[in-house]
Amino acid sequence: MRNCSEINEMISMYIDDMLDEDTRREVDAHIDGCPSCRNELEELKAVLGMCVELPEVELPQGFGAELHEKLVHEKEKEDRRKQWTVLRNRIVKIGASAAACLVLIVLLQGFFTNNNLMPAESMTKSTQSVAADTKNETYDGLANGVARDGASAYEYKDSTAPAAKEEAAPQADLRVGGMHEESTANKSVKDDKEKVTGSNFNKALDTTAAADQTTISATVQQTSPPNPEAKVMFSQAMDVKEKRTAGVDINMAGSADSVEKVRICVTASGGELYERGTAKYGAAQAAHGEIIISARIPNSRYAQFTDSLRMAFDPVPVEFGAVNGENMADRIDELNKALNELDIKINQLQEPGNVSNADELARLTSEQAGLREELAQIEKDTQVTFVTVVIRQK
Amino acid sequence: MAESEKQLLERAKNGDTGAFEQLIEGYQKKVFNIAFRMLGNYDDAGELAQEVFIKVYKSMKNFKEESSFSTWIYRITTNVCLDELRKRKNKKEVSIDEDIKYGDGEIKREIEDHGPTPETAAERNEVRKAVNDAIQSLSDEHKTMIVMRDIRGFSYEEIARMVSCPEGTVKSRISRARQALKEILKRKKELFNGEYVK
Repeated sequence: MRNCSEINEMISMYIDDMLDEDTRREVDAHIDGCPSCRNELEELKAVLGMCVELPEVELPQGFGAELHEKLVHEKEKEDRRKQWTVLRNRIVKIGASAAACLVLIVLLQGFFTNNNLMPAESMTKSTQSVAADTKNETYDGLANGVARDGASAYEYKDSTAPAAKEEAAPQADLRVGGMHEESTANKSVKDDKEKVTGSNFNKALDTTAAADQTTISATVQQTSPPNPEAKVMFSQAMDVKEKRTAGVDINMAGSADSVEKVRICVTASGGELYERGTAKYGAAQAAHGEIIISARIPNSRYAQFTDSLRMAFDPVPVEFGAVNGENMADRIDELNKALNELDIKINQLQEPGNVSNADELARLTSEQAGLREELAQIEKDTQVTFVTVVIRQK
Repeated sequence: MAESEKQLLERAKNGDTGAFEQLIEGYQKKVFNIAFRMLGNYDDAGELAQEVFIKVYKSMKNFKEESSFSTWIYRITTNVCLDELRKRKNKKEVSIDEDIKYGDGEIKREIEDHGPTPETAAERNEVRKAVNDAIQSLSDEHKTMIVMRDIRGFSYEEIARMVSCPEGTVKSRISRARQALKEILKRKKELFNGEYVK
């Protein structure tokens, strides 16, 4: 026999016909004999009736037309972005080969003055292994300057031209001792994905120190296969910033023990519980036999977390909801734009000629601080998955 | 997904704005109404609904055929609304069960935050106004449940997919949201006793 508070918890599902046959009959029976529960039921039905009754409102005037304008505008922006990407690819290529060229010219000068004429044919085939050896960490120097700017230019809408520091190398086929302007890898560049090989100009930089002929000739030859690691680094630079949320259902009655298990799994995966919900909510809900725990789990360890939960609660079933990812790129863009605008305004206010308005300045500065805080928070938020674990006997 | 919807989807993915507009035509009013009930403000809802569709357009490439297109749209709608509500509160974390207390300060802020409830002819009914106000004063999470379940009539399963929670969580949230709403309305007892209970 259930008591009134238990019945009360089930009233909502009872109304929606979400109870199983037996439970529904129990509730039916109880309500028949219990005026106070019957009253609760009627009150809730009345409230829901009012909600259902709320009318559907008409769209505002010109909604469709305004949306159309925005869509067209959006499409134009995207087309422009694509054109920019193609252009930027070319700049990167020019920059990269120009950088290598400069180095090459320096090397070859030393080369020839030492009377060490290396015929092109003796270029070693070791470029293959050279390319393979190149690590991400050595992807630096001039090439990186260009590439990194290129990558960051891609992330933000108001992209400005990357500093193509390596100025105008004409896009001719530069064959200095076997150096090609376009690597086989670069030829396969698609519109919106980069496949820049760091390997060739990388090694060129490395060998300025070493006056070793073999290495120099290895550098000069340019047939490196696409460096997958450079590719990865590049696509990471363009990684979508997402705020991830997920839900977990554990089908058992809540208890201090089960909470402890979850806590252990969270901590073991490098995550942390966050205040909202855990203490106050957990205590309040434990009375109803249900506990909700909120945690932040580092993205890279989410899989580990889910595995550990399954193991910890086995054989009790653990149900995982899909991970929902919310793209924050737009918000990040917005914030950066706003910060730029604020910067300009603040600088203007601080100019010597201006009658200083201390209040306005203070307001703008604090607004700036707020936006920066939000950016920092988003940065943090996108590194983790927000998980809500519910322990509840179904 | 209906064949024609599939074709429209393909074209829309390739940047055909006309196809996109056809695709989302049936959703405009629904998305707008969700935003309207979530924000409690007619003008803001219009802006937000537009934002939802732009987001949908931009994320077309991310849409996988396996899931339902409508669930996907409504999920984006929910997220956009919740984000907007969060922004308005300046990111103050509101504990799930907390009702807004009706001190002077709170009432004033509520009016400023949400603006006047719309007064179209259909809304002038005092009872409806009371319900609207009550829904607006719910926590974001509870409000979402009431709007999705009791106003828009989505199923438990659909809601679970829209908010990315297991169905079990949705069941308890709906139950608590309804209780919270009932409590708020009970406080406006004068109206409650007179008109609601028929």
